[in-house]
Amino acid sequence: MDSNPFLNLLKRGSNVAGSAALVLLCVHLYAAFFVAPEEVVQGAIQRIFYVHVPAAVNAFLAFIVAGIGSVAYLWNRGRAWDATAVASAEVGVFWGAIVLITGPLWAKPVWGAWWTWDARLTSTLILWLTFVAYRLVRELAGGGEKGARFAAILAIVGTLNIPFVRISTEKFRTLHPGNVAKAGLDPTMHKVLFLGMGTFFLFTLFLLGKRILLEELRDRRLAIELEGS
Amino acid sequence: MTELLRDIRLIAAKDLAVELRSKQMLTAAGVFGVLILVVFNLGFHPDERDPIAMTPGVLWAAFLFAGNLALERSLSMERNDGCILGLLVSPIDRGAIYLGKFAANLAVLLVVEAFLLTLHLLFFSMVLSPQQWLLLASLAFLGSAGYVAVGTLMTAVAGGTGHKELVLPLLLIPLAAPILIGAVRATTALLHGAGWGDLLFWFQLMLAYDGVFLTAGFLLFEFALEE
Repeated sequence: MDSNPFLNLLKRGSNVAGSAALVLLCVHLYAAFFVAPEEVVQGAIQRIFYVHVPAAVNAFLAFIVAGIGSVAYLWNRGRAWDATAVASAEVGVFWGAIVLITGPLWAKPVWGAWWTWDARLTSTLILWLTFVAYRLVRELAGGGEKGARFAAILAIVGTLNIPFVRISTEKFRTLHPGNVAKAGLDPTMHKVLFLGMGTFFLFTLFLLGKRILLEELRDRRLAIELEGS
Repeated sequence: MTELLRDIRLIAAKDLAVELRSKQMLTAAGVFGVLILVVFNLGFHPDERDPIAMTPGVLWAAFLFAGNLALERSLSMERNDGCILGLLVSPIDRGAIYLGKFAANLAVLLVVEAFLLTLHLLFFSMVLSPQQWLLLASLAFLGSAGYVAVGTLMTAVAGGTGHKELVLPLLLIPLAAPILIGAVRATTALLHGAGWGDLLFWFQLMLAYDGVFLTAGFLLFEFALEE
């Protein structure tokens, strides 16, 4: 591995991103709790927003990268593309789980219900389920080239499905705070939100790098096993 | 182009001929659909059920799950007897195989849906106006086309994992969510007397969905068939 400059870069890059994310996470948590002003109507619970929104942005980003990586993989069958796709699909499922947990925690006191079949909730859940199925397909197909190929098809179709899910769910009335809330946001709140997005993005890069390296390790183990048998 | 159309027709005719002889998909999906209708009818007290409120959900749940079963059969018949190899070595474009199978699956599903719809109206003693029939038929056609477009591709993916029965619904239901949402909303609207203009949005959405996923299936099917 150490002879490969790309993997070396990946290793060093993900370590740098991970360290930076760790430091920034402390700053971000401090800012979210003590610097950002208290929301007038919702009170302290609104602060979950500094975790929820950055996680959602990173989840969607990761799913789109998984879709692009899958197209590239079917196109040229490069193992690196497949590793990128599977890594981002998993990172997306991780952030998606955080979104789906923090959302109801906020919704219960503010909306009075853990869950509503609101447009954004429904579309996030559907997308998340698609990429959970992605993981399952890979696992059940027994890994290797075949699993990668089948999973890539699913990731592409799942990504194509995103606009349809958004449009069809948004046709209902939606309760979710959207662009209106953003426009009227306090400047300090905005800064803390962007800090959160940046921090989580670095963490995404860290996870992606480590997960791609893990795929490479698996390949090497497989190669050694094949040599031995 | 004419060659592509001929190949599509050949594959579709082959699948339909096999289906007409075995009637595997028709009976499996038809019986399963009836069971879903029965379950919904037993699940609500006769005095408390509201036909207009219940019809969209009951009907589309039956269509989707019956369709799931039909789709599951469609590719396993090729895999069981190694027919898939014959298909793969034949000088036919993989995209044409996909479109042929899509057409045959859609035809089977529409027959099952017509049967289930009739039965549902009977169970609920409902009468539809000619315009409602026409609207519902158009909805069923566009919605099922999208569902089968995604489903035909996903059966190949699910079949490849070796756990088809388990995997297919997990793949298909989230992917078909826009179709389900659109179909249920539009059916509710038409039962309340909405006309073509009111349903335009959902018709457009389904047409776009059908177009996108038919194209995706046409292009991606060959990757799902490689052994």
